[in-house]
Amino acid sequence: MIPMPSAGPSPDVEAALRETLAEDADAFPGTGLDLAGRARAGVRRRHRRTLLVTATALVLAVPAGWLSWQQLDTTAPQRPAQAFVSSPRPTPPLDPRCRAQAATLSGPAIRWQRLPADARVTEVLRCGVKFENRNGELWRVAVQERATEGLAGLVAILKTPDRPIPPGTVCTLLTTTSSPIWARLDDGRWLPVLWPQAGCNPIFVGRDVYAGVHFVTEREEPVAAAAVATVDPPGPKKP
Amino acid sequence: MDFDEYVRARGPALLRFAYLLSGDRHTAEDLTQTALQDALVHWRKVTRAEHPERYLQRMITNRFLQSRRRRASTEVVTAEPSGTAATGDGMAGVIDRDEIRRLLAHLPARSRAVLILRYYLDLDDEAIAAFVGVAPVTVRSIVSRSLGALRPLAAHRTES
Repeated sequence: MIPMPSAGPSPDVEAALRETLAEDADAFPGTGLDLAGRARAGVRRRHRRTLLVTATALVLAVPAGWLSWQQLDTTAPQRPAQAFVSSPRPTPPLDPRCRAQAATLSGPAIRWQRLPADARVTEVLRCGVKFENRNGELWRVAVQERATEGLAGLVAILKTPDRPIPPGTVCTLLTTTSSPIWARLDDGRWLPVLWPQAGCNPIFVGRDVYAGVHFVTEREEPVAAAAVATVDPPGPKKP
Repeated sequence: MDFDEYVRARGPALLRFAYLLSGDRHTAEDLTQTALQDALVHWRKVTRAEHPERYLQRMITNRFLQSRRRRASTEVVTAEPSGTAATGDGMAGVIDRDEIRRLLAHLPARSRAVLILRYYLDLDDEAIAAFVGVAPVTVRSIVSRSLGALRPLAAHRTES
């Protein structure tokens, strides 16, 4: 650390410094270098390096960009549906139950049933539709969720009998939408299961129970882009 | 003004300036060559400048300060001047200058650059401030502090 001076610099010091610098500059030996030639060579080298880097970047970036465009461009007609999947995990084919349900907004005519009290459920399948906005278009994506463990609470809810609305209750939001839950019984049969009707709103009955069930989400895209209107997706809301 | 012609005429002076800054011949060559490369790319702009040589000196100074900033954490100061000169009447100036060189070498890069711009190129505070990219008051402060470090030498010189 250089100490702060207590007074201004002495003229002697400045003179000594001037002399030293002048002496050093004069004593500097000529290098005999062709400075201009070396500078030109350096610039050429720099240009070559820039060209090389640009060419390498182009070679690497163009195919990558083309691939991403192919994956992202929703108007490319020849694009296979699988190319949309951004997840490294390959998407398994959508279960036919969910595919059929996703084909239309209201779903096909499915005969929803009560889960029998003695049913032993080994797997549940929840079908849904997700709406995604891509490039200004609304896309409808079929989503299915599967769970094989932690089903006890959910199955218990599904076996719960309906609870009638108490007399005099005013329901502001009365819906009758069936819940798109499929249950696979231990004998291998799939049942489209109704949520119990409880109070005014049957949709929210089982929502808290979902939290205890580990669903594995799978999706297929797109189901139908053109016919989709900007409406809320039907079915139960996800937890 | 032709680039080759200019470099033939002023190249050695630029090298000397770079040598004073860096204190090392090879570093001086690198600094000068890099600055000349940049100058060649923008040669029109350089020749349009009021003082092309100042422009190049500024490029060298910037390169020097940048390189010092990059290497500040890795560079280790070695080589205290070896041996001691014999003292005597005729040697006093030599000792002082060696000591000045040693002190200059140990100054921070910016302080060293400021002293060289002031006492070798004879630039005023405003010009030095523009060169180094600091305020003129900072230049005065750097000069004052750096000369303060050299003051004991002056005292020694007066005594001898």
